[in-house]
Amino acid sequence: MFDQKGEKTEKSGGRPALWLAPLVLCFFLILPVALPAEEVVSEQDPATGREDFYDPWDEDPLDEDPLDEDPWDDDPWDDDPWAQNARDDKTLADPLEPLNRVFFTFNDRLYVWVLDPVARGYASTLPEDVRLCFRRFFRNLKAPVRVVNHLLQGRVRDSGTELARFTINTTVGIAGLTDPAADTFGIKQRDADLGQTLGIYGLGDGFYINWPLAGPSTLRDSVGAAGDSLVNPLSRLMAQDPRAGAAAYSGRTVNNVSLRLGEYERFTAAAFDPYIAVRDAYWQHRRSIIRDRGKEDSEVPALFSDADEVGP
Amino acid sequence: MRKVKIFVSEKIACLAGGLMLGLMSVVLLAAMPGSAMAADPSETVSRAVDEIIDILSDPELAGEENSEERYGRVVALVDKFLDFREISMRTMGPRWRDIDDAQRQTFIDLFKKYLERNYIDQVDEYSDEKVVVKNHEIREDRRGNRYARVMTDFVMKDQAVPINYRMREKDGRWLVYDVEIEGVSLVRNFRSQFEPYSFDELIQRLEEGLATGEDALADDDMDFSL
Repeated sequence: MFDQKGEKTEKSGGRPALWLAPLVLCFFLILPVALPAEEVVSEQDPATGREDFYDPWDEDPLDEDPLDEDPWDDDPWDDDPWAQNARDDKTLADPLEPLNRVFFTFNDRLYVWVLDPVARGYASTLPEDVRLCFRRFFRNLKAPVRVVNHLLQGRVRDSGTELARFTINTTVGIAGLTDPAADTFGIKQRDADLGQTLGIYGLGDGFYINWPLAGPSTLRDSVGAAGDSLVNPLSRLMAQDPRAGAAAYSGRTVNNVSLRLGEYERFTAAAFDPYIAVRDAYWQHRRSIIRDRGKEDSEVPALFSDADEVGP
Repeated sequence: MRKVKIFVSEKIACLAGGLMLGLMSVVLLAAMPGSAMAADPSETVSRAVDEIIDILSDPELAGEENSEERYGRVVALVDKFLDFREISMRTMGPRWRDIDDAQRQTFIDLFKKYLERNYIDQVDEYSDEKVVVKNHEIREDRRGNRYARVMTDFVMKDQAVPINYRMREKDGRWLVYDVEIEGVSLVRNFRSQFEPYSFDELIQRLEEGLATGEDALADDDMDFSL
């Protein structure tokens, strides 16, 4: 029953993203020219309490706006609260907000009314350990995307690590159902995708898009997803045999949701405006994985880096 | 020469005495549970986490009938650990300057209630996850205020979610002013949600949300109209 539902879901979800890609790409190439760089308002406030909003971790390396004349902007010790506020003005453009909100509501209802009950039913039939195995299987399947993108990001070692993980887990790990690479060899997964790669290359987000079914994305990340689908085995399957591809996608979705039951509901219930909460969380997360890329000890395999970690 | 020596040994004696006193006070303070003495931010976080887990896994507090007692205890603990004034200020952003003290206090109280209502119930979802406090980094601004970021991992079945606590030192205690989950700052997330509303609307909606229950606000925003 859920296969059918899910099939419908994924079929229409994967498709538009694919054939819209050229169009989206055009937009994307024109956009940086069309949109002038935002001007940074650097007001000085002589009032007391200037340090009020100071936050030493608010440095934002993405904020390398040539128009920015604020001398404190890249200073990590910046205690000019307005520098941060100026950065905050740089919100993710959302010209499609009315339409996005409609799709948000649609996705929300679909999740709450269809996906969640189906996933709950599925969860009650299969023990968690089995579902974890399936999740690992699908993650392993996406390894080519990570291998390619690490390489595109110039991180040869990470790329090799992912290749090693893929090789080990596909063979010793029985088609990726288990993760001996992490459990035995201590090689942990490092995510990478084309949206992130493009971001590291310096491409802006464009604007926010809340796809029906596929959910939050931006122009750049949608282009990235379209590109990634070229090396993603699941997408290849989808292209060759839509029926099997859709079944695989819906199976993955139901399986993954069954392992995170209630999380989405709790997140939106705690939000003041769930649409903005999701949009902002998506954007912040994407920005952080682009900004912090390379800051973490990713060039050191977990096998060695564990020793450096100081316990509580 | 001799005088100098005496002077030096006196100084050493003084130092030693001071050191002993200092050590004693540290030991004494450390022996007092939940005291204000918080030597380092990592310790503060791991202690708070331990205390929360103690409450949640306390068999005497388990079950539906004890949920209120449990809730009260967690709230009390969280109040000690979070700086709601700082959180409110940063959530309001630049608007904070435009409102007077009474309005600020109204907002702090409401937002505190709102956060407690919406997040503290969620700790009941805790099962067997572990919190690993990894390390921390301290930075100082030029006024000498100290800020810390404590890196932790929330370890679930087969994956870990990085959670960072941002803290500020106030009167020798480290208080949390922001929580970053997978790079998403909770304060920024709320600021982006609050931005479209004027202060009065904000207060009104927060009050409505608290009065009508948790889901009211979430449902309010779901309209299909274009």
